[in-house]
Amino acid sequence: MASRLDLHGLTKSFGSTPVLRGVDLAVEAGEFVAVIGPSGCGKSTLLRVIAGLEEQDCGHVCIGGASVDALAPKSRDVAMVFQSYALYPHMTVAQNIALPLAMRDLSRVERLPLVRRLSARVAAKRAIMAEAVATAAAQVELTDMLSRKPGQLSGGQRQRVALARALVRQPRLFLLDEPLSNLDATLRASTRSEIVELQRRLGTTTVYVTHDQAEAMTMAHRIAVMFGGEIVQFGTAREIYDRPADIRVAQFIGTPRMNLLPAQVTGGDVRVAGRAEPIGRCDSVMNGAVRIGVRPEHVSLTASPGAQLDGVIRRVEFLGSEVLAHVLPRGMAGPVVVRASPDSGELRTDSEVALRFAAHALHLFDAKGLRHTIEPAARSTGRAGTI
Amino acid sequence: MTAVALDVKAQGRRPLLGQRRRAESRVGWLLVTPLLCGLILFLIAPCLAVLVMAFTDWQLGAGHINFTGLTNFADLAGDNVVRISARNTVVYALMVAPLSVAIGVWLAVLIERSPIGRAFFRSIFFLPVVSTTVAMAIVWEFLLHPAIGPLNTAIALLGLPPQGFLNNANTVLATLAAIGVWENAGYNMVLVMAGLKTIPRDLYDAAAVDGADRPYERFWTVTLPMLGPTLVFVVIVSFLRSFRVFETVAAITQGGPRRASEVVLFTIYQEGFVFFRVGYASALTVVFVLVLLAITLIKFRLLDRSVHYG
Repeated sequence: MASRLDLHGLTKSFGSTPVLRGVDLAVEAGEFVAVIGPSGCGKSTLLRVIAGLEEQDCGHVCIGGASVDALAPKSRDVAMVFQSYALYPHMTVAQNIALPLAMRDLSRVERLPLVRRLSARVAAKRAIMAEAVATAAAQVELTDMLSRKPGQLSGGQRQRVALARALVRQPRLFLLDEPLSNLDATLRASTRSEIVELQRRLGTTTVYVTHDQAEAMTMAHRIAVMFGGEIVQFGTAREIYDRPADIRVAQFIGTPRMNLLPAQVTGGDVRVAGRAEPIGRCDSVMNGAVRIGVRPEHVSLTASPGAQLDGVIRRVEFLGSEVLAHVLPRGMAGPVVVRASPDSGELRTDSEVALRFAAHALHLFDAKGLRHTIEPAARSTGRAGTI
Repeated sequence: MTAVALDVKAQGRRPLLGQRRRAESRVGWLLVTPLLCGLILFLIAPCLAVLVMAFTDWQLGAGHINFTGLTNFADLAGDNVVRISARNTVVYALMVAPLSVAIGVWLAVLIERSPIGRAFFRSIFFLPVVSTTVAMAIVWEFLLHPAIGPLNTAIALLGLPPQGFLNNANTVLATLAAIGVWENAGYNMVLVMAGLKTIPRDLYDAAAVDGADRPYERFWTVTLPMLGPTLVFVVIVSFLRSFRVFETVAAITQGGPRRASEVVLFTIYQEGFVFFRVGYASALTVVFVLVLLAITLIKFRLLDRSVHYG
């Protein structure tokens, strides 16, 4: 039962601190959207507003096209997985998973422990619930653990109980708040694919909050990047990586971070600070101080001096599948990180190198941090995209 | 210890470890000696003395002492006053402990959820705990006085006859119990409040999303089960405190009227310090302590089984 989710102009302040400043988001039915951002950017608050645990100051939350602003969390038909899993420690796994069903399908009297024995109707309801619990538990491979208590489970198993509790009543929306951040690295990777597989199979619309870009990029159909209470960019992983909306997104997504070089634009010609040769043209920014962004894999090292940018290798990091070289260009304060193949020959610290940028992969950030496209300089187009 | 281990490794000589350890243990004993002296002098020795005297006929100030074996205990079994005071104490505890726990939990949850005046209400309800019970008892005696007490003035305004709450054998124990509840509820409230603080907020959020969002649902689904360990402690302590009731009885009723408010601790006090029958009072004390210990252990076993810890 997938429903679309629409957020219109959500704002929320705690006291005088604005946490959400007009968030708009349109999530298609069945879509998996990751909300990513640094801590304190308001992503968890956004999730809590969608769930109804916090009330927004302005704006609307619509699930399935209808506003749910006036509805209590339980009436919104959403399920939430918390970072701490929030399992009830005094209940068994089965009871934990069954709780949302018991709360929805049984009256206060029917929930009393002895009533099950006395009333055939309640017994029948309980039997249906037990079946749903068994199905949910099977989906996350917890069938053997149903009679245990959360204290007897490992972190990964607890996490799966939380998932089962979320999916047992087939909600319209899954809300996951950093569900993997308490797991160790190996478990995180495997649970990641399990959650993706589960979501694709169930087809339930999912909003997944995380601060981990690898999670967001591998799991989600689309990613919403949040900064300072706003969604700065909403798109696929590829779009966000290749065409970041602004300098914050560019710096936040990608490891190691995108290199930034001070640059100057005069009459549309872009020059790296202190270099005479223009590296490209920009039509939308004609003059002024800007910054050039280039990802480590779009910089290459050449031995020939006298190229666009030359410098000294300060540090080499061997990571197995790749080598990261930190090169300090002449006359600059910070190093440029270069991602190289480990086969490309030995890189020695303190050796002089020249840097080349892949012309098609340069980003220009104006004084406000917004991104502009750089066209490769006319005279270098013939040289296979490098300058 | 790390320093010691390193030292041994560096020098490669084993005897040194023994020497060091002995020196360390000497310092250790030296450090606990003051406390140990105090404990032996004021706690362990008196306890042993009571245990010994329970088997004697010693009277306070008497120059002679005879060992009488189990005579004191045999006398206890047949003593009508002891039977009455034991019954009264149990009835008193059965009224005070459950009520003060229930009210303590109720107050704690109420104050914890209150948007304003938390510190104020917390202090108000904790006041009885920090105030001197004997002084408070006198205030209560005045409040409940048949002729000049404000409570009876209020009752008279309603057109009802005045009540001698503390002078009536039928109501005196219940009245003392009410004072006991007033005294203990605040103490329990503070303990429960500490317990409430440890309940993760996520659990309440999860309960709200799962459908348990009305106050009583929240209470039964999250608050009460999560308070389990705190409640075990609070229940046991409340029973112990109410079994030990003494000040109000001594200050207000002196066990009367007609022994209707005679409680064990008061009987022990009277036997020992009014009638000077120290041997007999000691025997009563020993029995009292053993019974309390047994009750506490049984209760702990029973409660512990139904409680979830962390």
